This record gives sequence, C-alpha cells and structure tokens, in this order.
Amino acid sequence: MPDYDVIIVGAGPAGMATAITAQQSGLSVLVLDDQPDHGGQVWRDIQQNHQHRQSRSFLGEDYWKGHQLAKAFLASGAEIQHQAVVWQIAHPLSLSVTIAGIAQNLSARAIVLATGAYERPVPLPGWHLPGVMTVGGAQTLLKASATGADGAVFVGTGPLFYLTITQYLDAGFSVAGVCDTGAGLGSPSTLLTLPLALVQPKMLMKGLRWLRRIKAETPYFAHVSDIQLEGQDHVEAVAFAHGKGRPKTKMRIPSSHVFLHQGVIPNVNLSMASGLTHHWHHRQMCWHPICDRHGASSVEGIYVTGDASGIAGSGAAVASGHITGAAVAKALTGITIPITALWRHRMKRLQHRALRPFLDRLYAPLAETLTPIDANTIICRCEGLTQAQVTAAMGLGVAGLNQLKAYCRAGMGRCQGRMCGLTVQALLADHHKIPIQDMPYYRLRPPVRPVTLAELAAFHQADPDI
Amino acid sequence: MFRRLDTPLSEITIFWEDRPLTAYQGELVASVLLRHGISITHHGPTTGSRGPYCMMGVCFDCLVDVDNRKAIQSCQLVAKDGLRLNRHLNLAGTGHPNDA
Repeated sequence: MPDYDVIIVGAGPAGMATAITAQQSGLSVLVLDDQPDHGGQVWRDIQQNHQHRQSRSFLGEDYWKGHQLAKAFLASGAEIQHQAVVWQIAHPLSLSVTIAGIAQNLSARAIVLATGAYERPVPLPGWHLPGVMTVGGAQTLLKASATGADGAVFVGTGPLFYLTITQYLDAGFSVAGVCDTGAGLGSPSTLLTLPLALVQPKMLMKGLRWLRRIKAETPYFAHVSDIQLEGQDHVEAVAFAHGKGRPKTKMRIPSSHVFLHQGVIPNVNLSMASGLTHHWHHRQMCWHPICDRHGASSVEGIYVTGDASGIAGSGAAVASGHITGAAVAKALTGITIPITALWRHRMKRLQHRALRPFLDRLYAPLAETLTPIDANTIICRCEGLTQAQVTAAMGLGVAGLNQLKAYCRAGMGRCQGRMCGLTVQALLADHHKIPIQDMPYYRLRPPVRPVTLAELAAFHQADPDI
Repeated sequence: MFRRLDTPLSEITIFWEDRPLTAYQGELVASVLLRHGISITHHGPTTGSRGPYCMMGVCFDCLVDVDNRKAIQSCQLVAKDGLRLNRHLNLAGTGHPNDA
C-alpha cells in the first residue's frame, strides 16, 4: 500500500494548484517543498507578507494575487512538508527525501514534479565575483525580508528584469544603472508574433509602463553588449558597450552590487535523473520533459506541471497545475472534475501561452552569454573552470558532455551542472560544428542534491527487511 | 550595502566568525550576512572568493559552516538565535579533492 495517492514536488503556483484539485477529488496528497514556506519563487513568503501588505506594497499587484491560491492551498487539507529536499525517484513509484537531516523513502501511486524554473546562467566575465547576483536573487531578498541595496546596476532583459527594477524603485532604492540587453522590436520574426500576444493586452501594457518608468527614473542604456564585471575579490564596476551606432559607445559604471538576468529555464535535474524523455526547445533554448497536455510524462505515473515542463509563467502554471491535478485524479479514481472548470483552466493556459512566442523573441538571451568567447570567463562555477580550460579539454577529442566532465570536471561540483550545463553544451556543439540540440546533455543521476553520510546513516526505513 | 526597509520586533543575535550580528526571526542567513556587508561566505583554492548568487538553492556559492555542520547553503537556512557561523573554507591539501 503506497504512503500517499500523490506526492507533489514543489509548492509554487503549479504545485499548489495541483494539490488543491487532487485533494478536492478525494486523493491523499503530500507536497514536498525545499523552501522555508510555500508560494514558490514567484509568490515567496506570500502568506507572511500579506499580513504586512501596507508596508510591502512595493511588491505589486501581481504578487498579491498569489495570496488567494496560497490560502486555498492551506485550506485544501493537503499535507505539506517544508524544507524537504527530494533527491531521488525510484521505480515503481517512490522517492527519497531528506527532512530535518533525516533521509527517508516515501511511496505514491503518482508523483507530480512541479519543480519550477531557475534563472538561466549568465556566464559573463566576472559573474562569479561576490557582489554579483541574479535579479531573481535580489527580488528574493525583497520578498523574504524587505531587503535591497542602493546603487545597484541591473544587467539583462525579460519580464522579471523590468518587474524587479520597478519593485526596487517603488521600495525607494536608488538604481545606479539599467543595462538592457534586449534586442527590441526590430526583428521581423518578433513583430510577426505580436498579433498573437495581443490576446493579453493588459500584460503588454504593463510591460510598456514598466519600461517607460525605468527609462524616466534610472540611468538607462539600451542595446547593451560586451559586458565585463570588473573587480578582484569583489565586483567594483560594470563595463559595457551600448547603443545602435557602430562602433557602440563604451561605458563604465562603478558599483559593488550587480544583478544579472537572461530569462529562466525549467528545473530539470530531477526529471532528467528520473529517466524522463527530454526535448530541446529551440526558441527558449533549454531542455524540457516531453509531456502530454495533462502533464503525463514518458514514465508511467510521473507527471510534470508548470514551468518545470516548459516556461510559460506563473499564470499558465496555476492553470497547468489544476489540469494535472484533475488528470491524476481521473487516472487514479476515475473521478472527473466538471468539464466547465477544466475548460476554464485550459482557456486560461492558452491565453498565457499565447504571449510566449512574442516574449521569447523580444527577451532572447544575449549571444555572448550563450557561447562565451572570453578565455577568462568562469564556465563551471563549482570547479572554478574558465572558458579556456573547458575549451582546452574539448581539444583532446571529447565526444560529449559526460566525457568532458571526466576530462576537466565541468559539471562535477555541488550544483550538478545547473550553472554550467547549457554553456558547456553550447561550447561543445560549437566545437563539433553541430546544432546545439544534437549535443546531448549530461547524464544526470541521483542523488540530484548533495546528501551527507549523516543523513543516510539516519535513514528512516519502515521495513526492517530492506 | 544591503539594507532592510522595516524593523521587525523579533530581534535575535547570530554570530559570524564570533562577531555578533543583529538578525530577525525568520530571516534567511544569507540575507542577514549581506545586510551586515558580508558578501564573501565561501573561499576555495580553485574558486577563489564567493558569495550568495541565486538565493534559491541552485548555485551552491553561499556556503557557510554552521555550528558543527560544514558547507551549508546560507540562502536556504533560516536564522535562529545564537547560531554560530563561519566562512566555509576549502583549504588545499586538507580535504578531499572533490570538496574544492
């Protein structure tokens, strides 16, 4: 007898929505989340912050929208375990998780991965220096503890980029510079996707409002490239080129806080290590698990929902979560949710997804962050490997990423390739002159998070025979 | 330098290399350190100095030593009164090479 009908990994928008719908259908639900509280990254600390809504109004309307779902999630009766680190999925369905320093196995009839997304690595010269953080990291500090830094420089592009700068301005922090790496509306393929995006006029207008305000209230630079983060033991300045003119105008802004962003990518370490089939997404330039429209993956009993199955944003993630929750309930019990509710979620998801082709093109990552050409740029943060060191290893006749790992240790550190994988894949594909999708990713294996011997020694095993 | 906009009532004290730091109940340790101007949490022979980068448990650059535990992600750790923290050092020749 499995411990639960369904175990959901992740308590962000998708995980919470899945839990609500599955629980409503009468299933026993456990949600495992590695963060201190539910809400995911987008609605981080939503419950706590909602009590201080007045003093934290700078977080904005979209953030407060999360409170409704979080409240429904808490009231749903689903069991939730915070700071629970899932590091393995085994077949038939069970998973290994560490909670409060003790590892244990839990079994279920279905497992839903709602592991969300994280920010695309931004391998620029000096990105490893203390003082350089991700824009999402800066936003986390705002949400988790109303903490920010005056005089920071923001470098990047994307919805989260403009949103966080706006939140910084609303919170009253001074901004020393905004270096926009976005390509703008210039390309015909971007313009061609605009009509589809018009189904979401409010979101487009919101984006325009953010940008107008940022241009008015900060030192703003467009068409930024050739970025270098300078400093010895800590970042001291950002040097870059900007403008449409040739040659571009050179600029340097001194600052001890630099925040980078080049979009987000699905968090696929657990789904890859669990044997799910993945596919390369051309436009979003990242891997995602192949799933049907309900979130059912290539492995029986394992579902993936929300941004973990492909980037579409928090609105789509909520709808996807409900859809997956309904599919799991139908598969396990035969109970279906009202067709009107299901169609409402499907329509909502469709609306949110309609915006993506436009956003993906408008906020495409900067080429120099995808395939770094500077020899001294750190590629693998864990092992401190530079572009020159990784490229030198490639020259030894390396066929794929796994062999390269054996030659130079790229991807062998604690983050398990999360910070270098896509870059190494791009560099090696370039080296072999093949398209990036033809270069397979690292073969990821459990444990997908570091596990200490003490955790394993304290392994809680219900059955003494195993 | 990072600053906090509000002043919660629940003040606690944590220690960074024996130096007392004011923190608040529920605050992430990485957040407390950044607020006190401590941005280098981790140092190794191959990596050099590192500090919090992603703030969501992905990059493993905000590692600190906590009480008797080594290499803990400070962005995933909630501050508790009396917590004793130290910079996580990977000294060449003293650890397994995998620990770099």
